[in-house]
Amino acid sequence: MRGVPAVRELLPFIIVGLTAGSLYGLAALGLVLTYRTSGIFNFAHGALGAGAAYLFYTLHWTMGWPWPLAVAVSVLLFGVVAGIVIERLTRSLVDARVATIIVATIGLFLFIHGFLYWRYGVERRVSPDFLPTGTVLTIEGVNINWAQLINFAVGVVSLVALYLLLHRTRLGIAMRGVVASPDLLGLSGTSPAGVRIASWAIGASFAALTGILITPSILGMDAFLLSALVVQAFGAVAIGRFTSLPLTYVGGLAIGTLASVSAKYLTKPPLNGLPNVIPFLVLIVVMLVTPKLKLPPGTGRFAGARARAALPVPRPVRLAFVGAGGALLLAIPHLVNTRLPVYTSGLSLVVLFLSLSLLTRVSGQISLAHAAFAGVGAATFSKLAAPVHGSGQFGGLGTDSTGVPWLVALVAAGLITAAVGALLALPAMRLSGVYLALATFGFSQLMDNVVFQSWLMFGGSQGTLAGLRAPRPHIGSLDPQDPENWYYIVLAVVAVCCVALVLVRRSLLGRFLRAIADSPTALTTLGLGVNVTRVLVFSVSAFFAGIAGALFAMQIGRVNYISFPVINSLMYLAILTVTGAVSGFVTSAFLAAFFLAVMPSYLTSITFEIQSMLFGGVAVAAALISDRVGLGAGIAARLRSGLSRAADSSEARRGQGTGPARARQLEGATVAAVEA
Amino acid sequence: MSEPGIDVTDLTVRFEGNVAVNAVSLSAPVGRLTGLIGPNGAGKTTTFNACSGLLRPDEGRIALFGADVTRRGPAARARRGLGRTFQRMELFTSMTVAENVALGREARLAGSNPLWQQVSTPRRRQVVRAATEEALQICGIEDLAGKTVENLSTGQRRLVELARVYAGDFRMLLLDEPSSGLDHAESEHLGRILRSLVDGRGVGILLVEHDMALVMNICDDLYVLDFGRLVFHGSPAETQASPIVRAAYLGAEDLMEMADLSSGGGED
Repeated sequence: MRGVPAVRELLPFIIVGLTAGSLYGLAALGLVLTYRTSGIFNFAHGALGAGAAYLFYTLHWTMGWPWPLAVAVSVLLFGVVAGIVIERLTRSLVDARVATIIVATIGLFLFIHGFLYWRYGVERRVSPDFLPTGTVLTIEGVNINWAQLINFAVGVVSLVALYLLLHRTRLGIAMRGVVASPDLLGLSGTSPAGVRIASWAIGASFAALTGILITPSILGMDAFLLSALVVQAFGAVAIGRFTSLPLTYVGGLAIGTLASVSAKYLTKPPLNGLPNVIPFLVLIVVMLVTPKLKLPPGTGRFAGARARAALPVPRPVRLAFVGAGGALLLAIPHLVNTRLPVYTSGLSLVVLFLSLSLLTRVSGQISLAHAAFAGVGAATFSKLAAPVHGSGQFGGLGTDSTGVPWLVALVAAGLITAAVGALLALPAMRLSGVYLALATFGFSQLMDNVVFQSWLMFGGSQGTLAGLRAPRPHIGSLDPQDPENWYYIVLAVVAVCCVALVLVRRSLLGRFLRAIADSPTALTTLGLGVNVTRVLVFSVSAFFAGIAGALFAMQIGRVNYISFPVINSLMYLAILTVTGAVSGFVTSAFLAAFFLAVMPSYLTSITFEIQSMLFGGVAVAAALISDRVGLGAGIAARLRSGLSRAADSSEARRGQGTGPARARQLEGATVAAVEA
Repeated sequence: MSEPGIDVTDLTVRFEGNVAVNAVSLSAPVGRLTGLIGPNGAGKTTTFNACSGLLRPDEGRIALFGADVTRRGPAARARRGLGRTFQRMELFTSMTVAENVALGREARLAGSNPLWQQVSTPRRRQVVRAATEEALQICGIEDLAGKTVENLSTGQRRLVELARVYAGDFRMLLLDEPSSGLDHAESEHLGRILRSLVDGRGVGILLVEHDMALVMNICDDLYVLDFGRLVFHGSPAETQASPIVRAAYLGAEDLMEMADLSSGGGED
């Protein structure tokens, strides 16, 4: 008896959820298709949808084109053109390292996202309905309008069409074949490149269609929200285990419904952020419970020769370089006048970049969680150094130095963040490559949307936007509010962190980390517990990221839950990839910090949006050429693959066909899976 | 009888329905040099991967020094004394030869202990240094110690990989085509190193090799795989005389010819 009214009460949410879910499913279908045919997981998938939505907005609402024409042009432009462009861009990435491929699509994400913010502004626009909104039918007193019905139908029709294409047409069968064996497909007279272009075009069109349809009723015109559409798609893709199209679509429906229904119940912060993260929770759970072998491997090498950017430099030259750099850092307060605070911010970022570099550059792992780590450090430090005693809205103001000593709070901030890092490393032990990137990205979303707003972090009784106060230390008679004194204090901490990280890199652990990047398989067969090593490197990296976050908090004085957004993690990775391609471990961190924090103060026209665009674009370029930097290694890899192909064909001559070759290919994947 | 090294019982490995290894049983005891030969795609490397723990077998058991290790991971097997090299050479390419070789010992000493992964003691450092020097010297690559692996020839890389497992002080070694890419003189030198490992140090070796001259020269015992099945087991002389083995190698006139046949395809 109670069930019936409950269902009736939920029905409007279920209907909204299914409508949105059908579109999430549509986006997810495109993502699965391109991932399975190219092996490249496209982080920019949602950004393509955002681009198409804005293009449609301009064509239809600004220029007054009729909506069917505007839809057609937007989908075709963003589908076919973007598809061809991406296929071209990524073609040379097939032999690249997994990390390089991930950075390339993240760069594309940042580029499109930055471009849209720059061109259309950051404010969320209202995009009116363009589809008819008259009621079609009424179920149990809930009206369903034409737009909802059309949105739902587009998802279903696309699923069926794609399924038929893959199973009934020559092109579709070739598409499925290109996954299994591109070389063989080439032998049979079908061009693998052509097939890939087709699949990218279809995948991108699906993203574009989703972006256009989802904008008016569900998301609104917000480049970030739309770009994060890929987030909803991730969850659906995970339910389809990165493989099955029907399951992926059903996953989209499930996630849409779950998010919509839970939004009815979870209305208070911090849990009101939870519906947004549901896809990620699903994603993480699915990845953790799925046996590794069931997750299809992406393209790219997990290890192998990294591009060696730095030429061997003689020791005296290096020492002179370090001396000159140190002198410059000491002299900066006398050179830059009122810009000094910008440089101080930059210094705190140096520690963050070094910690990220230890993880990505040295040990070859991926993290999209470093902004979240910095947030944890900032919150821990503030809570310890300036505890709030249940006072009102701006609690903490005026209660000076009642917390634990400054240095203790700083180290504790690092240690707590290290513990969080270790916690995140537990899934990292099981996952690698794109799945690790997704897990850390999901963790960041969870922190950003839920945990940061809770009492654990920046939320709680003192109000969320006011945030936490991060006091600067009093050392002797120095006034820490004086920018110059403060600069030198930060410089001292940064110098200590720099030395510590350089020592870690040169230590025994550092040697294991470099070895993991080259060949985890070899290291494990030599007896090293590489899972332990992975937890260690995540902890050490998070420790320093936490310290960087605390320094940054002290620099701006007060931090809240929007101080450490997810997109920063993407920016960090992209910028570090760019500077890391041309300079060494320490220098690349200083350069990255300079570009991110300092440069915009000189070129005031360079806003965060333009930075995003700039570094996104450069990151794509850097990813594309990074393999050519290591030209010798690239040629060697070509030769090796040529040799193994020769071996394959000699096998074929023996009349064994593709059986053993396929088996070996699978075995390679299995080995990578078991070893990781 | 000789002390047990690695014992494979009824090993079966399938990949999506393709049977790569089919109910294979073999024994490679400590103090003996056992050869595992067969045409390309016969399942030799798959057998190795199952032995070293990189693959979970669908059926069958792997025992190491008499103890069942089927459910143990690769690192645990290595710490018990099982070392291996790879046909495709898994080297730390961005590091120097000396660092590569030293890691052979350091990895085993550190194991899964978070503390030992971070710090070393003077005593451990001494052990590692001595093992590295000895391994470099035995393999004749002392003069390459400071070079980055990236810049080495294939033959030199093979020797680095061998030196690395030598430094690891393993009691049982799985060597996957250690001679491919070596010239004739280097191969002979390799044969002497392997024999001295077995006779001098009492190490057990299971060897996958395409250089039939080398195999026939140095092995005590041979297993022959074809299409994932064990087709023959016997001494080198018996193997050379066996018609079954000849058939497996597509009617090669004698086994010496097999070396020529298989030298074109470097892969197993």
